[in-house]
Amino acid sequence: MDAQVPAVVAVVVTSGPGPWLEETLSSLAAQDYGEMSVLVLATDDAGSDVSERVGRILPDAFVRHLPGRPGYAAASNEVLGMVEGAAFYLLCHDDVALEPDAVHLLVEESFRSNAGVVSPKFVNWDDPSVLLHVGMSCDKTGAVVDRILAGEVDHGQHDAVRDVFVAPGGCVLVRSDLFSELGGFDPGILAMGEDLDLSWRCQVAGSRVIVAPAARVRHREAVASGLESLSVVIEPVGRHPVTLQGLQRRHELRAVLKCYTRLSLVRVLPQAALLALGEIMVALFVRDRDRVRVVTGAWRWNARRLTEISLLRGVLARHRIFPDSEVRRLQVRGSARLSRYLSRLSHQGLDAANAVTAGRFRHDEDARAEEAVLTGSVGAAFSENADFDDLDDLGRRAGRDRFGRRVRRPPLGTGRQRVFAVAVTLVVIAVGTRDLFFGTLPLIGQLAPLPSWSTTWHHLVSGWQSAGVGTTAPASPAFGVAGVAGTVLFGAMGTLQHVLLLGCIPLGAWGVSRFMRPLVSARARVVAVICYLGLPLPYAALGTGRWDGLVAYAAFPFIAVRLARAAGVEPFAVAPTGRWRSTARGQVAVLGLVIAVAAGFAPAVVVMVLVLAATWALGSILMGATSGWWRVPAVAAAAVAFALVLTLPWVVGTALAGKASVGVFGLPLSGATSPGWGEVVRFAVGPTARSPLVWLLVAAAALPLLLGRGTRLAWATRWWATALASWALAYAAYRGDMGAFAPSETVVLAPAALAVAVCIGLGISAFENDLAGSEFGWRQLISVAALVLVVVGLLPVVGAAVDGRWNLPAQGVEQPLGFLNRSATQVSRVLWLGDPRALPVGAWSVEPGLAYSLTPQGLPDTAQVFTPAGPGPASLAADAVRLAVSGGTVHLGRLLASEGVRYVVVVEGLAPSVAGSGTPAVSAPPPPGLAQDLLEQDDLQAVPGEVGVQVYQVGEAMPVTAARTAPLPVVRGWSFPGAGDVIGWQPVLGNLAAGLPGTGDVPAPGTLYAGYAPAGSFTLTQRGTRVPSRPAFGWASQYGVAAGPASLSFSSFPYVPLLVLLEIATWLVLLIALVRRPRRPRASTHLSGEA
Amino acid sequence: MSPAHHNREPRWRVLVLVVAVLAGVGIGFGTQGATAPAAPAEPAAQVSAPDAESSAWYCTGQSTPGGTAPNFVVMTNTLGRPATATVTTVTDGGAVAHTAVSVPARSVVTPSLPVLSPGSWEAQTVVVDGGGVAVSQIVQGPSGWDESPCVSTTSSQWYFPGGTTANGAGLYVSLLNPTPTPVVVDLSFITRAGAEHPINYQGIVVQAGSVVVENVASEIQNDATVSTVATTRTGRIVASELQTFAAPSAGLSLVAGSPTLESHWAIPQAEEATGGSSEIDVFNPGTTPENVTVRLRLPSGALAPLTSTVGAGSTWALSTSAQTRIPVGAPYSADIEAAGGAGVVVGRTIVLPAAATAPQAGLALAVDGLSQAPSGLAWILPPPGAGSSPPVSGAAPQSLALMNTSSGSERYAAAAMSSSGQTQLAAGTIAPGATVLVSGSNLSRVAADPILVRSDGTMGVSEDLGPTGGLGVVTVPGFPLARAVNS
Repeated sequence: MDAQVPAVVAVVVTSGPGPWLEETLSSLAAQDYGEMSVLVLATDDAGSDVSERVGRILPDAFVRHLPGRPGYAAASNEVLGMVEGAAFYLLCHDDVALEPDAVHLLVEESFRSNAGVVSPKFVNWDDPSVLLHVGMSCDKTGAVVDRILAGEVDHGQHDAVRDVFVAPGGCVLVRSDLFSELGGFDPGILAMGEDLDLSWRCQVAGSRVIVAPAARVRHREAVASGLESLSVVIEPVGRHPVTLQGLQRRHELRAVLKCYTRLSLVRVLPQAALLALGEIMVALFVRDRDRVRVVTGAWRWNARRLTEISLLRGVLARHRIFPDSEVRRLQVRGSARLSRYLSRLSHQGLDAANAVTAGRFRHDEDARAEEAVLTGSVGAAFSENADFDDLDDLGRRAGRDRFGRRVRRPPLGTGRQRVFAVAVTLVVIAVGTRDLFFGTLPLIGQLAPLPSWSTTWHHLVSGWQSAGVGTTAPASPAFGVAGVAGTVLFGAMGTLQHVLLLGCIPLGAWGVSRFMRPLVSARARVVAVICYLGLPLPYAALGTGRWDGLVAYAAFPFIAVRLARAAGVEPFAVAPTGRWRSTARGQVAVLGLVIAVAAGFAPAVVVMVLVLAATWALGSILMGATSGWWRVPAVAAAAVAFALVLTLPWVVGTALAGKASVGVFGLPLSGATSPGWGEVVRFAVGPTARSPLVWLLVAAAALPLLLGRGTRLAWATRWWATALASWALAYAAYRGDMGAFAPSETVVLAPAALAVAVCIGLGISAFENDLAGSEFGWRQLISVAALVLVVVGLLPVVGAAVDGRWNLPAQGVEQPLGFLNRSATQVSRVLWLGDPRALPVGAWSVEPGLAYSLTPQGLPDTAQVFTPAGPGPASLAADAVRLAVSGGTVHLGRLLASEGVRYVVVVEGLAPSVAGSGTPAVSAPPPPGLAQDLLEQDDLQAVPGEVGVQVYQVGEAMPVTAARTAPLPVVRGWSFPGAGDVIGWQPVLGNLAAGLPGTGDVPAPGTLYAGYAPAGSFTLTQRGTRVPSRPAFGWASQYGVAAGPASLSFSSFPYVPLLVLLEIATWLVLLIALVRRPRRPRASTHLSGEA
Repeated sequence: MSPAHHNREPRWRVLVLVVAVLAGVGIGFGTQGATAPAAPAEPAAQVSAPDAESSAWYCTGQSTPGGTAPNFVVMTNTLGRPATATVTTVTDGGAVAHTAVSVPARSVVTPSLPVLSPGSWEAQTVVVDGGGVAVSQIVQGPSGWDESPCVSTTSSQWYFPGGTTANGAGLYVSLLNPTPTPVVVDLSFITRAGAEHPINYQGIVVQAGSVVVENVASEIQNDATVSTVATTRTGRIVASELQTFAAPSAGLSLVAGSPTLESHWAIPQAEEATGGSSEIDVFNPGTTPENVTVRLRLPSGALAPLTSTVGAGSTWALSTSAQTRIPVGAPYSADIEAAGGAGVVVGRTIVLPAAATAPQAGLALAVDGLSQAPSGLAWILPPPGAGSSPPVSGAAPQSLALMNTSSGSERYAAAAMSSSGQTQLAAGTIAPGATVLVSGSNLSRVAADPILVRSDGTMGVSEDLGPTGGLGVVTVPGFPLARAVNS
């Protein structure tokens, strides 16, 4: 080596050196740099044999023992007083091993780049192929981040010399004059963060900090990895000793406070505080108390040292050459810590994200987070493991190659672009839904408010419901779901309704992503998700108040995933994991569970699952399958059967309704205002996004049929078969062509929407994969055209988002019918009539296009939306209405009197329309002539002035519970009351809410009438004695009563509550079985015990 | 095909299936959605089905006893079982009375109703406990007499094509509100001067269960042809028009309005008399012009049709007595067809010479299209009263006309219906457009029995009653049956 080279003094600070000290010293001894001397600074903890150990390897080295435990920074600063004439200091830990040419290369690069600080490439001590650091960076708040991923293998991908913000500690070459001018390390930093501080100050002083990866250093990281304890006296050890993370955080903040100008601090410090506050809140949420202590401790620690920091700021100000704007150029943008958290959240889920440590240290939790399986998280839906190769220091895509050139990628080719696209889509959805997030939803369709938390549970387990004139049929499982969710939300049922309704849209999108994952690339998956969100169907369901349509929209992607997995359709087959749910039966059970939950809100889902399975089988046959095609229908049938078992009480109650049971799927429409075929195919069945442009999405969905091959073509065929069946069924349902069996139209359309979105994704995938060997031709052209179609086809929904509520009317029938909520002097009921889509309550069918429902007087809630399939004696109301419509009576009011009907409400459309606002996009009028027929009735008085509804008051309404002196004739069969039967009744048993029986005084001896069904389940007691009952009108009860108190109560063997409780227990057992981990083999434990 | 696509993927059969379904359904069923249909219309006076739980008839336009046109209600039971009903009589003075009535099987009853006061005008609501009963009313006053169907429906609009306030004639519009809901009514008139909306006849409040009568002549004076529209702002009413003709050609007509506009009307029988005058009034209350064709037919064959475009809100008063193509003294029928709009309302006015038997003048609606085609294809013609002493002395059927308004030959049968059974009066086949008249001894056997007409197709059925000055003065249309009686 030429003697003209500048002198380097290697400073090794050692404290309690481990066995690796010799290797460190050996590597220094082996350097090919001739003008290098070694100074070993040993603290008290280093032991007395340090000199001896150094002397064995480096006899020329100078060893100095430092009293106490000064810390690495303060110890290193000793070099300033001990050494003269050196051009560089090589500041080293005692656990690094340098390649023989490392110092040579570092010095060389220092001159070449005119750098004041030069950092080598750090690799793992034990496995030099794994990178540790290649320079580091930090954000504006001083949060240090690595430029590499943990565990990243060194392929030379970071071997370019470049400026970095932080030269990591461990081994760094510093120009001696610079080090001297800056006063060395900050002695106030006992450990952790001194490298950040020094690097920052060097840059403020106008010096470059670079990394020279050609110089390679192995680093044990003995302290960070826990091999060696921190040998400094920090502060008295309390209940919560200061951790490395705590030190790092406090020193990062110290560096921020020192190195920024005041002006920058005004800007940065609030941001840092805000981020810290957010971090504290997240930490509190996940009960990470250590994190809270670390963050708050850092601010407290620095707050106590503001005077000291101020002095140091003054010292640095004298050396400041570069403004903060120059220094900031090398910092990463945004918040490194927040980016890292969100990246983890996106890619690995919440648990992994919360395991992100405060600093750059890797704990067990952190390591686990790194290794977390990419499943079950939102981000996982849009990520692939391979994508990590493209991530930059912060898990973000740099968009540049190793030479800094901008890499051109195809649209949605990077994770950042895909996340951005999904985020933009979600923002559009959020903007379009903004008016619906808060406040009360209008009483339209199925949007009646949820009853209270306790009432919801009561409906589920009660043996009697007030639907119609009363029924003992078990309640819909929807009440169970709502009850559980309401309990979780502490009874915030209004919030629950918003969450359940509005959450269906993103949930459906997530489901699409899950379905597409095994099939297509991330890009195609994102396109499919966006298209699913961009189809008008969910907004049509929302705009028409169809809860079932939204639930079906959310559920079908998951049903499709589960069905494909359970049937083992390629490429969805699930490898056994040892858990029960990965078995064939478990898969079917999971599918059945999803179907059961969805069917509670949208029973027609059951029908469409079978249709889905049948069309998949048809698609397989079309593709030439000769065997195995039956698996999907078989699995679907089994899953549906299992779902029926899970909801057995409700299913039995529905089946007992006989022919009327098909009404649970939906009520027949008249076809009077049905949408056309074109409108059905483009999902223009709601008030919003009805543009013909949506046809373009449907057209784009044909792409995989033209280009796809193999699995993609097979799946496209299956889904197109599904779409065709779905559209045809929906069209027939709208036209009223299917008789009494009329599954809800929005539910029927959900598989078609899913099919369109999936096929668009498959088309993208076909473009990516199936054109690889094709010559340029029409296939490429139509692929590009399809992309254009997709973009343009999404515009209608984007445009519809401007409205802010998807054209959901601001007011429903709650406004004109507000008077129904006034306190009544008697128990009475309301007869609702109208198109099945328009009624804000669950209903039964009078005839196609005309539905009816009987509810207790008052505005309905969700309890009246999910009604039993069979109306029971309430069907007498339908008979009476049929008579009136056919001109067979002018006494409809009297015919309804025995059922306690006080008001007849005819709903004229989905929502009251404001005069002059034009024709509503979705018309659901009652049958023409109904109003005329009702006005013909001589005992129905029209209530004037109500907009959107026609209200009639029954002239001689009987209270549901009433008394008079004369008895009623005893009639065995269901019958209408005669003229004399409805006269002279006085309401008794009080002013009761919700039409429930109760207690009150009978004014005079005579007959007490109770219009509740089933009559045999009610007991009237007077003075503790049960009063015998006689039938009235064939379905109600009459009692011979004396004057005085009386009590009417439901008294029946609680077989329904017992069944429901059994059902709940079944669900719990199933859920436990699904989440339970497999038991470890008992044999091994036994053997070890023997051993 | 590119090398990458040299395979045997069965994509084309899938594509064909997709295109076939998408296009096939679109072409087969149309791409456009359905629009809301209009409310199904029913005849204004239709006999309810036998199995109806209850039915109602509304009779209005008459005066209280001692007034211009006191009335008799005629209840005809078409069923083989007795019927009970309640007749509620109200006056414009607010008096109300309920009368229970029982009508034996296949019989006619003219119930004795209480004389109410105060009030000059009255109306009846007949609520039958079941169906199968037809209700008509006979008015008789100083000017003459008439029999008119009561109506079985309420409506939000009523149209009257004819009427006159000229030559001392009186014209009264009676508004009955049988519903429990108050109604506000506007009256409009179409005269030679155009449409008139007298301020005094706007916003007429008709309380629930009450009757209001307005004198048209007080606002529309000395106009030969006055068409009237009664429209409710809310609710539904029953409206009728009472026309009095002053001497020398006197007459009294009670016309139940038409609640619907229709494109087909029929006048099954008419006759021009020497010295008399008659006109067919075609009223177009709609908003678009109607191209109207009047096809006249003599027993010998069809005449050249008469056509006119009737403007919106106008009336075509076709003077048939001025048509030389119609021979005097020959019975003829008329089929009126309108095209181009919502439909028209048609009536006929006849004024015979003073020398003829009183009454000499009359006004009646033509038979509307709905009444020509009831679902039961059967009609009942009530007699002018019950028993051997009718309300109008000597009143009896003079001529029954059955006009085939279908496009093919139709079989028909007419029978007198009594408690002992049915007596066939006539039966046979009618050529398209032809009319069969039953009169003379065939009808004299009927006495006071109702006549039941059955047919295989649509038919215009009307009956002329006497004594009058001639055909058309007192004309009663057949009451269509919602469902034919079995025996």
